[in-house]
Formats: sequence, C-alpha cells, structure tokens
Amino acid sequence: MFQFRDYSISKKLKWMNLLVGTAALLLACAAFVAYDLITFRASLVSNLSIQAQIVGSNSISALLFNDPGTAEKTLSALRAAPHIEYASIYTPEGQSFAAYWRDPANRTAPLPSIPAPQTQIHWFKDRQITVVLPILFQGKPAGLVCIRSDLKEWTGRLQRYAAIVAAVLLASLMATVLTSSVIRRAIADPIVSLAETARIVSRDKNYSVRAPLTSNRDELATLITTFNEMLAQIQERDTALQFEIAERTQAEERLTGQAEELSRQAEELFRTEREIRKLNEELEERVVQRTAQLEVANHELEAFTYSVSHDLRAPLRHIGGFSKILSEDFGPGMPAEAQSHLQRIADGVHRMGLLVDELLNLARVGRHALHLQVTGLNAVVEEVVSLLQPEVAGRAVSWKIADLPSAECDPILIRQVFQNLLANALKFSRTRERAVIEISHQQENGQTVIAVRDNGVGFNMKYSDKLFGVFQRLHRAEDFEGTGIGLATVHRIIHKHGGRVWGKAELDKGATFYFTLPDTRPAETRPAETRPAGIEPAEINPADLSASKITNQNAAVGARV
Amino acid sequence: MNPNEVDILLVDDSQNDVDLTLHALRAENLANPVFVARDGEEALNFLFCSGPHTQRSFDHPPKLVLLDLKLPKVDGLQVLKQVKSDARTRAIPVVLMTSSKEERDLVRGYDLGANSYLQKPVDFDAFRKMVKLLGLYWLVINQPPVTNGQSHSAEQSS
Repeated sequence: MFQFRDYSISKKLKWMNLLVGTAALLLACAAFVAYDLITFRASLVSNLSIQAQIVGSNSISALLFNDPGTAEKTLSALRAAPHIEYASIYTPEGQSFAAYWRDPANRTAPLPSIPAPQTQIHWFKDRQITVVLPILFQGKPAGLVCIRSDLKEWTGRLQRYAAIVAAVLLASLMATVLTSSVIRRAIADPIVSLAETARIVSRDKNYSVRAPLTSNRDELATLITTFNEMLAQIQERDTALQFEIAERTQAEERLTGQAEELSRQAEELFRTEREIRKLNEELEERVVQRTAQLEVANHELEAFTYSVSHDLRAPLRHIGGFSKILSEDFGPGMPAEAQSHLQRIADGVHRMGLLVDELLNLARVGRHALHLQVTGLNAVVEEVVSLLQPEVAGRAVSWKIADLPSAECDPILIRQVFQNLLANALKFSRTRERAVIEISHQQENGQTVIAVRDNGVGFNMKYSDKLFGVFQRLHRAEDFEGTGIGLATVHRIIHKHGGRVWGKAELDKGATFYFTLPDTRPAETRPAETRPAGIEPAEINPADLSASKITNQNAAVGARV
Repeated sequence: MNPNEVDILLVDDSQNDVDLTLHALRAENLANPVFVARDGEEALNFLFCSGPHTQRSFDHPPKLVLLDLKLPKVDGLQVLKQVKSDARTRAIPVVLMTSSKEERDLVRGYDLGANSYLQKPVDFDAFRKMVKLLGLYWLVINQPPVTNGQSHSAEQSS
C-alpha cells in the first residue's frame, strides 16, 4: 500500500483501472455463478426427488406383496440416469428391502443406515447428494426410498463457469491496459510535464519555461493555463524585481563608493588635523623657545647697556679728567702742538660721551614699556622748545606752532621725538639768517599726521633711505655735528606707537619730517579728511597741512633770541 | 688723620675715580679730611666701627658718604641698605655717585633711603663743578642732624 502511494500517476491510474475493472467483473461473475449454481442445485434436488417418487410409487405393490425382485427390477431402471450411484428401498421398519448400485462392485457394501423421516429429506456429503423419501400408500407409510447421486454434473458446470470468468477477466485486463494508455495520455502526461516544468522552475529559478498545453479543454488544461499565467506574472515580477535589485545594487555601490570617499576624506581630514596639531605644537614649542631666547637676548642687552652705561663711561671720564688736569696743571710749559693734541683728546672724549649717551638712549627706548595716555601735543612741544633755548641763544628763530590735537602716546617718548626733530631743525637751519620752524598737523585715515618743517640746508632725497639708520649721517661732521642716532631713536619710538615716520626735503630748501599718531578724538568731531585714503605719505605737500591756526611763537619764545 | 675726624667717606673701587674726585675736591678748596674705602666691606667696617676700625666711635660719623654702586665684595646698594636700616648710621647723608643712570638703580637707591643720586659726568669740568656744588651743599650749607660727637647719644635719647 505504501508503495502504491509512491507510484507515478500513470501507474496509479493503470492500477486503479485494473483493480476497479477486475473487482467489478469478479463481483458480477460471482453473483451470476452463485445464482446459477444455487438454482442448479435446487433443480438437482427436485429431479432426484421426482425420480425417488417414481421409484417409490412403482415399488408400492412390491412392498405390499413383499416381492423384492420386482422392486429390484424397478430400481435397475435407474441405469438410465448415469449420475445415480445408489438407490435402495427400505421397509417402514427400516429394513433394507431392495438395492441398486451403479457400480456392481459395490453390491457387497453395507447399506447405509438411514433415518426414518415422515417427509422427504436430503443432504450433501462426500461430493454426493442423498435424498430419502417415505413411500405412502393410502396415507400410511409403506416404506422408504433412498437415492444417492454424485455431483459430477454440478462440478463440471462449475469448471465451465470458472473458465468463462477467467476468459472474461483476461479480456477485460487487456481492455484496461489499452484504455489506461489513453487515460495516461489524456491525464497523466500533462500532469507529469506540469510537474517537470514546476521542478525546472523551482530548481533553476527559470521563470521563462512554460508547461506544454494539451488539446483538451478540461480542468487540467485550465490548470496548465493558469500555471503558465502565474509563471508569466512571476516572471514579470521577477524581471521587475531583478531590475529593482540591480538598481538598488547600483545605488548601494554608489553609496558604498561615496561612503568610502567620505571615510577617506575624513581620514585625510583627521590626518591633516593631526599634522596641524603637530605643527601647532612644534610652533608653540618654537615660540616658547624663541621667547626664552628673546628673554635671554633682552637680558643680555640690558646687561650690555648697563655695562656701556657704567663701564664704558668710566674710562672715558678718566681720559677726559686726566687730560684736562694735564692741560691745566702742565699746559703752560707744553709746546703748542702738545696742547693742541690734548684739546683733540678732550674733543674725542666729549664726542664719545655723546655717542654713549645717545646709544644708551636708543637702547632704553627699545626696552621702555609704552605707557599710553592722552597727551596734549602743544604742551609737549612748548616744553621742548623751552628746553632748547640754550641752543637758540644768539639766533633769530621763528617758531610757527599750530594748534595741535591730543594723541594717545607715551609722553616721555613723544617728548624725545619732538626734542630730536626740533633739535635737528634748529641745527640744520643754523646757517639761515632767520630760521623758520613750523609744527603743523592734519588728519588722515583716523590718524594724526604731525609735520616738523624747517628752512635749513635740507638733504638730497637720493639718500632718504639712510635717514633713519643708526650712525647714518647725510652731512659732514665739520659742517654739522651729530651722532647719527637721533632719527633712529625717533623711528624706533614712532614704530613702537604703531605709527610711520618719513622725511621729505630738497637740497638747500629745507626739510620736513612727518610722523603719525592715532587720532584720539571721537570720529564725529573730526574734520573731513583733506585727502582720499591710500596716498603715499611722500606725496603729502607740506602746503596742504593746516597752517591756518599756526600761531607765530616768535614773540613768546623768540623774544629771548 | 684722626679716624674720628673724617668729614667725607669716599667709597669707590677705581683708583682713577678716587684720584679725580680728590683732585676736584682739592681744586675747589674743600680740604676736609677724606677717608677712601675701596670696597663695600671696608666701607661697612668704617661706618660700623668694626674690623680694623674698632677704635672709631659711632659718635663721630662722617658728614657725607659718596658711594659708588658697582663695588667689589659688597655692592653699593647693599652698603646703603645696611647703613639706612641701622639706627646708629641711618642719619648719615649718603650720596650715590655713579656712572650709571639706570632707572632701576635710581629707583632702588631712593627706595633704600639715599639722600641724593648723581651721575658722574664724562666731562671733567662738569664733574669738577658737580663736586664743588656737592661739597658746598653737604659740608657747608646743609645742617646735619647733630654736630659731631653728639649724634649717637642724641639718637639714643630721642
């Protein structure tokens, strides 16, 4: 049974055909044969009992007359019925009266004992049928008849029936085999090919195959058509899905690429940042080192200036002092040439003293911390002018000092600037019959530009780049004394204030020095600037400077000339 | 020279400076007795009557101390500090006379109680003029806290 389940559909169909056909045939045959055999047996009993009746009726007289010979003759008539093996007549008391045997060899055989029935009875036993019948005469039992027949006719009939049934079954089997191939073609084959198609689809994921259509128009055809339609839909969806998957894969690849790019950029950023940090650290370290070096250098400079101040001045003083004593105490006895030499020593000492002092001053400006405060420039200028009075003695000098603004600056350093510039102006205008020194200002780009102008010997602009260098001089020492440090000091002070300084001059026509300081006045009170921004300082025409408020200080200061 | 009759204590390590100063003093006719100390330790011994100067008395302080700043052993500012922080010597006028015009020296000097601060000019005439004015002022014009021989006791009694 289990194996049957695993059979292919065509095999199952074949077997079903066979079983159903065979079973139907067998049942029909069995019913038919059974009916026929039962009927046949009933007729057999009936025939036998008729013969027994005939025999009994014919034997009544013999019985009545106790003539067994006649009875035996009657019995021997049964030879015409070949099936009857044995017949006998019994007396009512059950004594055997006459007997007949088909086979004479059996005459000696004992007669079977029989019951004495009131009515006819029969039984089957040992492939034989026995019928016992009472013989009645005038309603009274006159004896018994017993006839026994074999069943050869019945079994022969049975054998014939069996042969017929077998033949019919064989024929039906052949018919079944023939029809089952037809059935297989119509039912099994389409299902098998459908199953095969489904297997291919499932195995290869190939949705383009189709199950072959049959020419039938049954449910199978519908099934196959539907299956193919489903396949078509699946194929469509699969194609769409594949397309979508391809798109998504592409998008994913793009994303992955972008992510990689991002991560690469991030890494690069990280690396750059690390480098920057490292550079910064190095820079900071270098700044620390440089600061330390600068501090050491500053310290050394301080030690140096202190040394210059103290140790260089001392021997100078000694030279000057002793040469002076020599000249004073022993000069009268000396030749004139020796005295002249002593004087030169004194001059050299004086000059070197000035140099040392001014160098110290310059160094001090460098070290000096700025103490900015709003300073009225006119007060500073007036103080410097009065300080310079000894220089002016015996000269005609006109001071033209404008109404100067206030500026945020270090008053001590700015005084130094004015002192150096005004001293220069006085010095280089010494050859003029009347020296004119002008101090004016103008506003430019939120800055105050101060100008100091003289009518002195001026200088050649060709050498203007040397103006602010240390020890740089544009005049011979015989003409104008000086150390070449004054303007360098001015330059350093103005730069320390974040301003600019420059000079403009023409040979023999005077010089003008300009410097800038931050304008401290509120923006709204400043006068409109007199020139657009961005013009080079050297292009400033001194005539543009606001001279309207210039006051002639000649009366006040120059009165002492 | 009686060590108790010294008017001026000149403290300078440079023989040249000492000679020039003495020459200037002589030239200006300031013939007061001068004691020269060549380093800070010697100056302190003199002022505090110790070491080789134990025979000196605090009752006879000099009228003026001319003190250089750059000195061997004990420097000038240290000498000034000790003099001005001791009650027995605090009243003695101390004039710092040095080559340096360094602001920090100036400030520190006055902080420690210097009575005056002078920069030695390079020019000998100017130097001589300065010495003359100095002697005139401190030895003649200026009124010292007490006259010689009474300063210490006066200080003690006050």
